[in-house]
Amino acid sequence: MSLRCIGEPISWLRLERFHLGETPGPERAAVAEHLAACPACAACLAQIQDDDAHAVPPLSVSRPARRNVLSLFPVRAAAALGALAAGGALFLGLRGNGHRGEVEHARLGESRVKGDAIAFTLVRDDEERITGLAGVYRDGDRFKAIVTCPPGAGVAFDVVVYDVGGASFPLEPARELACGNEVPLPGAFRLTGDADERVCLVWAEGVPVDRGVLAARTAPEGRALCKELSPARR
Amino acid sequence: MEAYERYGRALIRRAARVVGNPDDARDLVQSLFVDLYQRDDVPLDLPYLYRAVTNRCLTFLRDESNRARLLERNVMALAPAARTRCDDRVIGIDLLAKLVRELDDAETEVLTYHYLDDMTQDEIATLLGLSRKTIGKRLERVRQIVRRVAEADAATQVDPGGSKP
Repeated sequence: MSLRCIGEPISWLRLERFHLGETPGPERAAVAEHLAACPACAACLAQIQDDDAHAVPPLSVSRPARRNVLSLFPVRAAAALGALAAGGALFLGLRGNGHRGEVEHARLGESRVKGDAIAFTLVRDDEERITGLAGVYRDGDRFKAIVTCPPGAGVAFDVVVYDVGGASFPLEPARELACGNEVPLPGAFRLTGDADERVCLVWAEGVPVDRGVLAARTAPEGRALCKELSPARR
Repeated sequence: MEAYERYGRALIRRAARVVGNPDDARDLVQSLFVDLYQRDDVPLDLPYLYRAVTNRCLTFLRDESNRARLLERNVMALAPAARTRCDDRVIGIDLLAKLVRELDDAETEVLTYHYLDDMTQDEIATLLGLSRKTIGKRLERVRQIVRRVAEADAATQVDPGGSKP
């Protein structure tokens, strides 16, 4: 860490572009010349080259088919889910417009909700919040689900996790959640194994969530938001 | 996704240099691509993606709970060689975590490009589409804040209890 550049350092961005072969000819020659003379910058390039020996982690999302439920991914089994009690962090964002009688498709990736919409967040126990559509988990990570919903909405919530073994329900259904800003669902759950997981928040108005219907599917339909979680690379 | 396949590792490395944690770096990059994917207009342009990841990292660092956790988990092996220093000080995750509270967004971004990424003022100006003069002013402000924070740290170490004469 004590190496000093012999002159003006080649920035990391330039090194990355050099490594990728994106540096224009004249500049490339200058960069190469500097690297040949500068141990500090050469060490940085070597760091890039070493790291690139690893494959890029899979991106656990498919192109949305103008719907918002990720139903395109085969989800492998490997999650052992157990009810636990403590919080961690992974966020799922969803919103619904509350139109009675209409089938809603949650808008994945929207973690900020305005008006009468609903927001769902998962929080990993290291307090990490994953705000996008996809996230990672490590074997044994524990999650807590947090919901933002309009006070007095009368909405019942449940969490379902899908893998090739079918649907699992790691939490007790929250039939009468006192809606508000970032209300935690009772309990927590743990993901184990090394396979991709699809974690969904589902909700219903005025009636409990029908687990039988959810269990018969590979992805929820209607009012739900799903997030693809992949195992962290070791 | 072509851009992810091509630039994913470079961007994860980039994020890891800022947040000091490979898992968080991966999450940040994946969330960026997920969002871009939704927009269906992912650019095949490393500088653009590099800047987008940078902004996500800095937003992440501005969250106090994230900062505290990162400081606990900071993987020092990820710390790159410090080729650019501020008054001979290395801007590491610990100092950066303090500086994000003191600097505005634009200053923090410039700080990151210069002291963590080793970009020249010209390179930063090109990346941000600003004049070199503007970058220079922001860096000067950054230097002042770094000095102030460092001096405050030194004072705390000398007198950790804040004892009065």
